[in-house]
Amino acid sequence: MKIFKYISLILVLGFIACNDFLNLAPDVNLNEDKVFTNYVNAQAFQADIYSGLTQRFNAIGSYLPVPMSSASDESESNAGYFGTKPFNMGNYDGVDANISYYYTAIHKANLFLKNKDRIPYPSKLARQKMVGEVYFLRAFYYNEIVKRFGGMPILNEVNGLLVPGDDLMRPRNTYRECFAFIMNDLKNAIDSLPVTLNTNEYGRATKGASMALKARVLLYAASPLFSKTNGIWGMGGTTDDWYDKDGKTWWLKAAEAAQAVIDLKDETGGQVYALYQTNAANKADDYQNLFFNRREQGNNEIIFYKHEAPVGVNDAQINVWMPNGDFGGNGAVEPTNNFVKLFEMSNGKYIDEAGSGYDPKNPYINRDPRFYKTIIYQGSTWQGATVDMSTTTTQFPAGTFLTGYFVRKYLPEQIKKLSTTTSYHNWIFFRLAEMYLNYAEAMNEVEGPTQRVRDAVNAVRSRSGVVDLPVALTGDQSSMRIRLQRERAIELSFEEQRWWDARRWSTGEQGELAAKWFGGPFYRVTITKNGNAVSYNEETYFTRIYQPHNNLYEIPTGEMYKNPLFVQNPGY
Amino acid sequence: MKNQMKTVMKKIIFLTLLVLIELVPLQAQSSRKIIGKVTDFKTGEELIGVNVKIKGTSFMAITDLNGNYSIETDNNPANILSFTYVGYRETFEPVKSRTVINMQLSDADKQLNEVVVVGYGTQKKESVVGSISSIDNKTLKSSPASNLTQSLAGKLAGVQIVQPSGEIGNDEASIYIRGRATWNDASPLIVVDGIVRNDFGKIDPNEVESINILKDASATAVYGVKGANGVIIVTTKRGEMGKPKISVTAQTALVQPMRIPQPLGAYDATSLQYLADWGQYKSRTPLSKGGTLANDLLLYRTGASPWDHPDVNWVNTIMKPYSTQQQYNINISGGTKTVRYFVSGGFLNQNSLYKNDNLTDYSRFNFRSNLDVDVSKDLTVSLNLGSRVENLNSPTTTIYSSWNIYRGAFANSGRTYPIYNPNGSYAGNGNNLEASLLSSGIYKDVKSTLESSISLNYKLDFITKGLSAKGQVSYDTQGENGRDWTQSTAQYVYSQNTDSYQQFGQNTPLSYGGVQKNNNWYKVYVEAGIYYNRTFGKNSFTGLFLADRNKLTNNAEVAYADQGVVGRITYDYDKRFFGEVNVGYNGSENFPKVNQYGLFPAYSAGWLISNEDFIANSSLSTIITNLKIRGSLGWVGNDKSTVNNVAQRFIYLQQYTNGGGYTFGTGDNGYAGIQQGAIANPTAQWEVARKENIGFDSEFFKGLFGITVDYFYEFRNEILTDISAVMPQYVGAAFAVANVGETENQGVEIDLKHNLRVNKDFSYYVKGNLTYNVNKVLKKADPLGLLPYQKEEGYPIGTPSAWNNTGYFNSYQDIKNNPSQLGSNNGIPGNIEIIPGDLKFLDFNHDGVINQADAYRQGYGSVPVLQYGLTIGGTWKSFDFSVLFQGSAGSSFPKQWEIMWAFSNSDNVFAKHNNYWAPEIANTAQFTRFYGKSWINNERYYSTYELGSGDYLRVKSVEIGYNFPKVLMNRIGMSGARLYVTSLNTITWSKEPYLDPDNRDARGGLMPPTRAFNLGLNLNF
Repeated sequence: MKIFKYISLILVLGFIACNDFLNLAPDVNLNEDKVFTNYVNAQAFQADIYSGLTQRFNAIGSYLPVPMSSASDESESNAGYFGTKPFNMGNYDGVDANISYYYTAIHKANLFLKNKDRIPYPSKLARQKMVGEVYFLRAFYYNEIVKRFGGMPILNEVNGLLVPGDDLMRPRNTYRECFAFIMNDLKNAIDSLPVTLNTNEYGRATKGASMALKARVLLYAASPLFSKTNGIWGMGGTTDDWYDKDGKTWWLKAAEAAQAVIDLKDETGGQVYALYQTNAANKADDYQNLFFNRREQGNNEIIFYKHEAPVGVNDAQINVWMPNGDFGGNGAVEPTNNFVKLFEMSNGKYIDEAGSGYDPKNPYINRDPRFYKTIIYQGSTWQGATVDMSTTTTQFPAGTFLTGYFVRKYLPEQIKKLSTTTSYHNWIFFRLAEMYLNYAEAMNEVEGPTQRVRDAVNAVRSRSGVVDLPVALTGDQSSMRIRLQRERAIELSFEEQRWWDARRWSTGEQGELAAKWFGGPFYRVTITKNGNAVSYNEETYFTRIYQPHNNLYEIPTGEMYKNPLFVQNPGY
Repeated sequence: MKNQMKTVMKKIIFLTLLVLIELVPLQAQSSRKIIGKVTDFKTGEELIGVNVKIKGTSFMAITDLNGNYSIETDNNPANILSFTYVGYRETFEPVKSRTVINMQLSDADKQLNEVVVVGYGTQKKESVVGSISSIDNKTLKSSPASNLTQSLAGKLAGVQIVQPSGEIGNDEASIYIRGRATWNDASPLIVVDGIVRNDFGKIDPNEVESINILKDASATAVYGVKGANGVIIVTTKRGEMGKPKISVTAQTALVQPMRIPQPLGAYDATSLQYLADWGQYKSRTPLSKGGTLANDLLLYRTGASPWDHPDVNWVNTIMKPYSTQQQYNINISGGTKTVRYFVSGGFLNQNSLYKNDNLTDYSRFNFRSNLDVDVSKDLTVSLNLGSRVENLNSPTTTIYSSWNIYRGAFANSGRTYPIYNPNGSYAGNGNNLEASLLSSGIYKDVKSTLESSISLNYKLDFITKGLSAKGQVSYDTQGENGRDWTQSTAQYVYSQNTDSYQQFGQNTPLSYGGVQKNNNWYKVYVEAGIYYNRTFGKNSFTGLFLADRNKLTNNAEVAYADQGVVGRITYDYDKRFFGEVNVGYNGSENFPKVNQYGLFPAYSAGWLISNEDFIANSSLSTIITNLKIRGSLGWVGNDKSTVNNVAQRFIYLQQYTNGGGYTFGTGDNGYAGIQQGAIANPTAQWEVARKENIGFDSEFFKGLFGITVDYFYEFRNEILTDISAVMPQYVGAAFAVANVGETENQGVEIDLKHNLRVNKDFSYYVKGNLTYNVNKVLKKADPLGLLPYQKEEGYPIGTPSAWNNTGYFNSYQDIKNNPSQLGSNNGIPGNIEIIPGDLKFLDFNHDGVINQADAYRQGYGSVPVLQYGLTIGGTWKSFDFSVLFQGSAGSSFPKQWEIMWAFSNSDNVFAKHNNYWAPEIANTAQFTRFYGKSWINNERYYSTYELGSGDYLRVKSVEIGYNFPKVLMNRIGMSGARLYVTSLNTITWSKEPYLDPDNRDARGGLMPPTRAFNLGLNLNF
C-alpha cells in the first residue's frame, strides 16, 4: 500500500504544484487605467471619438449606400442603389442605420468624460481643448439623434456607462431635456475651446464650430415642428421662459447665435470666417470650389467638416455621384426635375412667374448661376465632353437615366475615369453661408423682412454672382419665409439640409411642407434628339409616399421590441 | 426469401410453443438416446470436443470430428442439456420429448467477454450502464468514402451526419450526437487512442479497430468540461500474438457529383431576361444587344452568331461528368510472447471534379505503427505512431474553397461572351471561368500531421491484487503550408462588326505568389492514473483515478490548455446489479479564476435481468439471451466558446485595443486611436448539460433478434449567447457574450438487429437504427417585445422566422379577396406592387393585412430531427452483400440568390424559372411572374418559398463481395482474398430538385457530395 500512497501523493502534489498551468491569459496591453493615466493614450482615445463623424456623400444603406439627398426631393437613387428607397416608399423602420455610430461615439465620449480628471494634462490649455472637444462631439452626436426622433434617452458619464448585469431599459427623455443637455455641453465647449487652431490641429472642433452647432440647434428648436409640440417631441413653447429664463423668443436666440458666429473674431481681432471669394471672373466658380478647398487653401468659409485625405475616382464617395458610361462613375445620384425647377432664372424670378423668360423648349438657359455649378444637364460640358442624355446617347448605356440629370456640385472636374488624380472631398457640416441663412430666417420670424434680413441673404447670393432678392417678392414676412426656404434649397442643396429643413418647417399634425415636397409624383425629363433639335418631355416616373407623421423618424421596430419603456413616435 | 421467412416464423412459433409446453409437467418415462450436431452460430462450422451434459447429472458426451454427439439419459422431459466449450458461451437446452437436438453455440468472446472502449479505459460489455454505440472495422474499410466521417451515416443510433460538401480535401461531414443542444459549437469531442484529437476523418479506415460513440452523461462525465456534445472514441488496431498477418487492399472508384444545378440555355434565358427587363423598365424598350429582340432571340436559337450571341454551358465547360479515386493499404500485424505490432501504410488519391486533372487533386498518405512490448511480467510499454501527409493542388482562384469557380459554373452568364474568341484567346472582360480554372496558376498545400504517444502500463498486483498504474505522454503536431504560383492571362472582348479585340488584363507568366497559409500547432498531453479491478465473491469493483494535462500551442497564439482529474468507481453484484459513479473535475485556460474548474459527476445503474435465476436457469433463457435495463443522470460541460463562428477567448478581460482614430492637420496624417473592446463578462463560464438517460439492451433467441432502446433528456444552460439583440442601441457599446442561453433536447434511439443463418450456404442480417430528437430553445436573447411566435424561445434551434407562402395570386380578384400585402405601415414594408403571379402569404395573425407580424417560426433547423438507417446484408456461399438505406427528415435551409432567384446577382436561370407563373399554368407554376415585375417584389422576402427541405432517402451504400475459396488460397500461401464492388450514395430521393439535400449553403455554392462506384481487392497472407 505504500507505493499506492506515494503515487497518489505524486499525482496530487504534481497537480497542485502546477496549479498555474491554466494561467495563460494574455497580459492586457491596455486597460482603463493605462489609457487614462497616460496623456498620449488618452489623446489616442479622444481622437477616436471623432470617428463617429461620417462623411455623408454615401451614408444611407448598407449595400451601395447613397446620400441623404435621394430621400428628399433633391435627387433619386439609380436602380441598384436602394439605401434611400424605403424612405421614398414611406418606410422609416431602421433605414438610417448610422444612428448606431452616434451612440457608439457617445459611449466613447462618456467614458472619456468619466475619466477626464485622471489624465495628466501637460497644461491647462491642453485640458481645455481636449475636454471641450469631447463636449462638442457629444452635443453633435446627440443632436443628430434628436433631430431624427425627438427626445431620446440621455446617457451621460454618470448614468450612461452600462455594463452587463445593469438594467438596460431607459425611458425616452423629453425633447426639452435633450435640448438642455445639448446646450449645456455646447456651453462647456464654447467656454473652453479656442477660436483658431494650429495647423496640425486642423479638423478638430473649435469655439466657432460649437457656436455654429448651437445656432443650428436653436434654429431647429424654434422651428414649428419642435416648438409647437410638447413633451417627448417638442419644446412646448416659442419663448425661452425656462432654459435661460430671459423670455426671448427661440427665434431671437437663434438669430443671435448665428450672428455671433458671423461676427466671431480671433485673438488678433480679425474676422474668423468669411464667405469664400477669390475675385474669380465667374463668381459662381467660388461656389463650386469652396467644396474642394480647405482653410490651408485659403477657404475661411468652412466652420466644421469631416477631415479626410484626398480621394480619387475609385473612392465610393466620388464614384456614387460621378456620371456613369464614358465618365466612369456609377451615376447613382440623379437630381429630380422637381428640384431642378426650383432654380430661379438669372433675373431672380421663378420659372413659372410672369416675365421670367423661362423657355420650356430651352429650359437651361439664363438660370441662377449656381444651377450651372450644381447640375449636369443635357448639353452641358463635363470633363471636356458635351453631355448627351438623350434616348439615343452613345455616352451612356441604354436604360441608365432615371431623371435626366447628374450632380455637378461636389464633383471635382479634374477627377476623370481611370485617372489617379485626387482631390479634397471633405463633407462640410457647417459653413458660414448657412449661418447667414439661419440668421435671415430667424430674424424674419422675429421682425419680418427687414433690411438686415435681406442683407444676410444677399451676401450669400452675391458671392455666387446671383442678383439680389427681388424686393417685390419679399415684402411681407410670409413671402420672405417662402423665399428663404427656396434660397436654402438652392444654396445648401445636397448638403443634407433640405431633408431636415422641410421637416422642421412642417408640423407633426399637418406635415404640409415636407409632405408637399417629399411625397407625390416625381418628375424626370426625357430627352429626345432629332438631328440637332432637342426636345424635353417632363413625365412622372414614381409616386413617393410621405405622410405627416414622417416628420419624425419611426423608432426602429427592433428597438421598440427591446425596450418596453419606449413610446413610439405618433403615427407609427 | 419466402422460404427463409417461413423457416424463421416456424422457429418463432415453435419456440413459443415450447415455453407453453414447459409449463405443463409431464410424466417421466424410461431411458432414451439423444443425438445431435453442434455448430458455430456464426460460421456454421462443426465444433469438435464440445462437452454435452445433462444438467445436474453425470450423463455426458463429447462431440466428434463432425461435431456430432450422442448421449444416453433417463426419460425425464424436464432434463436440460448443457453445452460447454472453450471460448463459447455455456448454453442450456430443455430436452422435452425430443431425441434429436442440434445446437448452435455462440462465441463467448463476443457475447460475454466483449470489451467496450469507454473514456479512459475499457469495460466489459455486460457491465456497461452508459449509452454507447459502436461500429467495428468491417463496416468501414471497404467503403470508398474518402473521409471516415462520411462512413458513419445510417449505421449508428444517436448519430446524425450532415455532409455539406463533396469537394476533395474538404469533404468532412458534420457529426451531431443526439442532435444539438447549443447554438454554439455542437461538435463532439474526438478521442483517438485515449487522446483528444481532431480530424479523425482523415485516418485510414484500415487502421481503425472500432469507433465508439459515448452519448449519455455516464459515459462522458469523465471528460468533464469537454464532454457535453458527446464523445467519439476511435481505437486503432493493435497486434496479437501469432504469425505475421499481412493484409493488402486496393480499390479504385469512379465518382460523380450528385447534383449540380444546370442553367437554362441562351435562348430560354434570353427570353426570360426580356420579360424581366420589360417589367423593370416598364414602358421602356428592354435592353437588347444593340439589335432587335427578335434578332437576338433568333441568333441565340440558331447559334448563327456564336461570337456575339454565344450559348456557353459553363457547368459542362468547367466540370467533368465523373472523376476517379484510388485507395491502397497494406498492413502487417502479429506478435511474439513479448512484442506485438501493427504497422499500416495507406494512400488515397482523388481527382477533382474540375476539368483540370493536372492542377486539381488531393492525395493522402497514412502511416501507423502500434507497438506493445512486455518489458517484464508486470510492465507493458506501448508506442503508438500515427502520421499522415496531405497534398492538395487546386487552381489559385480556389485557395479558400472552390466557391468562386464552382458557383460561377452555374451562376454566370452563358450568353455574354463565348469561351474562346475566333483567334483562340480567352473571351471576356476578366470573368472567364475557363481561364480562372486553367490559366490562373496553381495553389499547392501540404499538411502533415504526427500523432505519437508512449504509455506504460504497470501491474501492481504485488501491492494489492487488481491494482495497476498507467502513464501516458503524447506529442502531436501538425504543419500546413500553402503556396501559390499565379499567372494572369489576358482576355479579349471580340467585336464581330469591326473584327477587333479589346484587351482586358495582362499576360503575365506563372510566378511565385508567396505563402498563403502557414499554420503550425503542437500539443503535449500527459496523464497518470491508477486502476483497480477486483472481484470478491459476488462483489466486483473497479476504480480509476487519473490526472491529465493538455496544452496546444497554435502558431504563436496564447496556448489552449486544460487539466483535471478523473475518477470512476463501478460496482456489480453477482453480475446482476450494476452501479457506477463517474466524475470529471477539470478546467481550461479560457475562463476567469473563479470559474476555472468545474466538477462534473454522473451516476448510473443497471440491472441485467437475463442473469437472474428466473431467466438464466429456466427455459426463458432460450428466448431471452440478454436483457438489461439501465439509467443514468449526470452533468457535463461544453467549453467550446465559439459564438456566431467567432472563437471567444478571455472574454472576462476588459481590453482596450489600438484602433480607430481620425485624421488631423494639413498633412492629413492618421491619428491613431485607442478603443475599448467589448465590455467584458467577468463571470464567463462554460455551458452545463444535465443529461438523463434510460434504456434497455436486449437480445432474443441467441442473437436472432436484438433491440436496444434509449430515451434521453438533456437540459443545457449557461450557453454563451450574443445578447446584442436585447441591447438597446443607446448602450453604445458591445457586450461580450453572456451565459444566458438555455435549451432542452430529448429524443429516442432505437437499434434493431436480426440475423439468421438459414443454412450452410446462406445467412443474412438486418440492422436498423433510428434517431429522433427534438430540441427547444428555452431561453435566448430574444427581445422582450418580440411577438411570441417570432421569438427563438420555444422553438428548435435554428428554426427560421418566415412568412408562409400559400401559393400564387392567380387573378386580380384573388388579390382583392385576400388581405392586403401592400404598403408601408399597413403591409410588408417596401412591398409596393402586387399583381397576379406574385406570392400569396398567409395572414398568420388574422388581422386582415400581411405585414411583419405574419412571419412566424416554422420549418426546421439545420440538424435533422429524424435520421434512420437500414442495412440488409448477408452471405451466400462465397459471396457477401449488403445494402444500406439511409434517410433524414426534419431539417431545412434557406435558398437564396443564384440558386433561387432569377437573374439575381449574376445571370442564371434554371428550368424552374421557365415554368414561371402565367394564368394558363397557374397550378403548376414553379416560379413567380416575370412580366411586369418591378425592381423588387415579395419573392425575395423570406418565406417558405425560399425554404429548402433537407429530407431525403438514399441508398447510401451497396456492397457485393466475393471470397475466394480458402482451400485455393491456402494452396498459394494466402489466408484469404476478397474481391468486392461497392457503391456510395447510389440513389437519392429528395424534395430538392437542384441541390443535394445536405447542402447547407444558401447560394448552393458548395460542391455537392459525390456518388461513387468502387472496385476493391483485399488479400490476406
